[in-house]
Amino acid sequence: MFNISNIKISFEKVLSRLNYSKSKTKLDAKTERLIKEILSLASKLINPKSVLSFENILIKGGAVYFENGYKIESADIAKLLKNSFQVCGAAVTLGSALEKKRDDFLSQKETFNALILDAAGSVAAEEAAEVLYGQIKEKQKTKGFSITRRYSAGYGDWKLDGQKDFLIWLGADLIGIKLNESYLMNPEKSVSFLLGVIDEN
Amino acid sequence: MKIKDFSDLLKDRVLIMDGSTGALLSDRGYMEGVSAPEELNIKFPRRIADVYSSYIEAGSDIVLTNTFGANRFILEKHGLQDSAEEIIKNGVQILKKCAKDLGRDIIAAGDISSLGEYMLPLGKLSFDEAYNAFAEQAKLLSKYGADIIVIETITEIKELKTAILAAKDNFEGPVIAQMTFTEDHITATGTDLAAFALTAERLGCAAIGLNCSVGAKELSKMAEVLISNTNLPVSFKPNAGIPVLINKKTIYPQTIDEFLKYSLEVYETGGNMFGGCCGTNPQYIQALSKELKGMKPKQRRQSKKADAFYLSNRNKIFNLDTAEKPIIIGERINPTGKEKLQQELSKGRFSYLKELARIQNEQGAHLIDINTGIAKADEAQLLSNALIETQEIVSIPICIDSSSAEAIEESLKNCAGIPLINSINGEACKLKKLLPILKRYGCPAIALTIDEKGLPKNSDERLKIAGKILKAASDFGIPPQNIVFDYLVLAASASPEQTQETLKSIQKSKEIYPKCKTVLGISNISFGLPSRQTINATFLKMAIEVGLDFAIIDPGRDWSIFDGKAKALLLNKEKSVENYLAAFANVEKPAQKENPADMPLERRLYEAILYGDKTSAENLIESIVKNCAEPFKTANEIILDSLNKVGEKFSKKEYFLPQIIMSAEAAQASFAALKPLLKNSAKTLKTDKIIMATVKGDMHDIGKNIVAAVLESYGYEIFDLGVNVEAQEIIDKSLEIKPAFIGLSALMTSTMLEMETVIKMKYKEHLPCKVIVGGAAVTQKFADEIGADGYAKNAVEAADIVKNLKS
Repeated sequence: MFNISNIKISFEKVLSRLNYSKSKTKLDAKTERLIKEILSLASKLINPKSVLSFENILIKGGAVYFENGYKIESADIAKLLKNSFQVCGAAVTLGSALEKKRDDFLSQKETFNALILDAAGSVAAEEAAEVLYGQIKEKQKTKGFSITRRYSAGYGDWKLDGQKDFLIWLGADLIGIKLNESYLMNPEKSVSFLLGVIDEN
Repeated sequence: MKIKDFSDLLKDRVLIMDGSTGALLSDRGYMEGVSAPEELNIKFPRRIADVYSSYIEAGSDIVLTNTFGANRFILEKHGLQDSAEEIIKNGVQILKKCAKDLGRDIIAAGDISSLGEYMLPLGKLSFDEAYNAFAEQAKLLSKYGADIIVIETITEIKELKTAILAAKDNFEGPVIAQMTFTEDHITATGTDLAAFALTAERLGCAAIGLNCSVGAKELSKMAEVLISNTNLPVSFKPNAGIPVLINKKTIYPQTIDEFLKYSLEVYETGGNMFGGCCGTNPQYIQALSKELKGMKPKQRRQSKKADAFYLSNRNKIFNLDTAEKPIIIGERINPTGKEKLQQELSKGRFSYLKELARIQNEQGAHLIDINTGIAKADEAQLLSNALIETQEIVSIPICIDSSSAEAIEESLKNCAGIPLINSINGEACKLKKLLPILKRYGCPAIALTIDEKGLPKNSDERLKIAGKILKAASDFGIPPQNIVFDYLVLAASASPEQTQETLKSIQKSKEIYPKCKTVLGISNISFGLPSRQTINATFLKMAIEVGLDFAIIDPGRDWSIFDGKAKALLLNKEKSVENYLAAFANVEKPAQKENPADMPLERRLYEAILYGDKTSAENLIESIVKNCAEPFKTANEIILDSLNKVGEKFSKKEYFLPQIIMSAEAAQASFAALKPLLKNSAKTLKTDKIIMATVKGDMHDIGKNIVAAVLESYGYEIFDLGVNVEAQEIIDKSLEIKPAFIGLSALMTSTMLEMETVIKMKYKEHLPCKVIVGGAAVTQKFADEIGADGYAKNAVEAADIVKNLKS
């Protein structure tokens, strides 16, 4: 079913996040080994968890009305979900151990280690979101449904402050996700998104 | 309960454990009004009594006390740190009362779990901090009458080791250790089942087991592996599948039938205790009880070879009985005669040491020997830190090399596995100090066959000392296979007759002490002779022929050499020395590759920075200061030249961000090394100051830190104000230190507007410094609009802009 506990951190994706150019960058053996050592550390420090919510919706004008009374006012999302009868909200987090270790490196001026660990965390969080998205897609397919692409607060006209009510609706606190005053998620290596479920019949 | 009684009980019958406490508390609505499950013990004792009673009635023989998180770290998070004693007291006593009221005879298992924080190096907790927290919990469980202790849901092997040691030190009864595994059959921190089994066994657990994890189906496969890797009783306490959190409800996918099916499979392979974890409830336990309660345990298909020679690291075990001889102990991490290593260790750094470990690992060493004995250093701290740093980067076990009992014990506390100790010897005072340590940590040791009288002249005396050591070890309950005898190698040039005594000792040792392995530090043999490797490799072959197991050598050398003249010399044949010298005295050493040490100092520093070699850069500064007429000017120019080359490579994309940072760190280290060395000279460093800050509302640290690191590498003095910094704070600091530049970072469109506020306030205060802005959301257009003096896309651009704005 839905299980992201076993995600892997791709070395290539981490390189790419760090602006590595396949054709131009000359990655020496020493740097490669040091990066891989930090990736090994990163894989020990992540504890991926996910939370999902499904709810039937109604689109009216530039807003999405959830059955339980929650509403997202966004023309972009209304457009995305125009053929959907249901919304699926999801969030993933890696927990806080990786970020604590990164901050520890930063405080000791071990910037290289902090940089790699941070990039590894970002890649892992995105991988977790992508794996969960794939699992949602598979599950809905078995019911004869398809899904839209995923969409996150802070993009288009869905303002970042919309994150607050969305995460409450989702129950993201159950996996330890909290928002700070700037509406950023803590743990930082977390991803939240919604998508629409479409009845192909 | 006595350990023997518990072991006997498990030989006789299968015991049923309990199921999940947390999930049951949630299901029954019992978490209302408390912040942690443990708080129920003191606030709503009837609720926890209801859970206990449900499991006792369902048939549990072993019920865990509601003290899972009753340690100082977890309790503090819930404001319960002052209630630990009452929580644990009630946790045990309510359980015992429930059993009494129901007229059942159960085993009250004091539950201990993770501290919720990782230990060094994954997290910040030291061994002592973790140990003390576990010890407090174990003491209270003992005080209030727990029959056994169950350590469960641990995912990190060092934390498990610490918890077991604390439990064993403070609780006389049986201790069961359970870990939690992922679908890859390793813990979240990389330990496999066999490595877990070895650590828990060696530390003296009465039983080991698996709990929670990934559901009964996958965990049953792991239980089979665990059972084949231990002779201890095994507990099996899976969750009801990997939970899914949907619409604020936790759903566990595994049904009772499925859970039972796989539990029965584990019973068939030789499991001894059965229960459940998250998502299970009294119905699951009732089903188990109906099928398994009181059953005779099944004979295990294969049992672990109890007297094999095992070592482990964080990830896995190494059965060295099956390794091809000789088992190589890489000898290069020893500061004796190695100036670079001495310099690094004296600064408490380990980059070069780690490099030596990596190289030997790649060259085929089976173990890495770590010796950090340098004058005027705290060896215990140094060895311990070296071990913490090294064990995470090599794939083989460690050999802890010290003559100090204190240094050995400190290192053992920090070792994520079972290492080899190098060394003990036959001196009574040494044995008295070191054997208890070996016993406590369950690790084997190299035993030098010397004693108070010094080095014995012949093999009989060495073997006699070996016997004495073995007897003393046996008195401490240390099995013979945990002792590796070193029969000592002397220079063949000085003591030609001793080579035969050494080889004879190895041969006889195999007959007299067949369970004990043997080791030699090979390279001593060739001291004072030409073509040393010819002698060393020939001697190693001769030693292997008589049964040598371990060799302490440099794995990077050529060990395939065998020479008849060298053999004759080692056999002390007539005229053999003359013959050997005639053949080898004038043999030229093979041509060396260009030695970096022969390059000019300036070139070496330039390359050290270009290739991000922090340790070399730091050491070279010292030489430059000693040898150059104008050291600051020289160093400064080289560092900047090299950084310019780094910048050039970055702009061509030959280098990417990590390489920039490595070079920046090397340059930073050079400047840091330069400052104190110039302190007493007329030259002083006069550098521009730069304030760095991530603006108010924005918590992103890493980008700002990268820019700070690169600017610092150019010698600027950085004042990093951190993240989420108020504009006023930036201005106040600017008024105080008069910086040349302010660097502002923002990642989000919502926070980058704060940059404009800072710039406006700067003008209001007539501050002459220039402001450079950057961050994911910032653009050149935005920078121009808000009146910034510069916009940098990345750290290298930031350094260029600073340079250009200065000129």
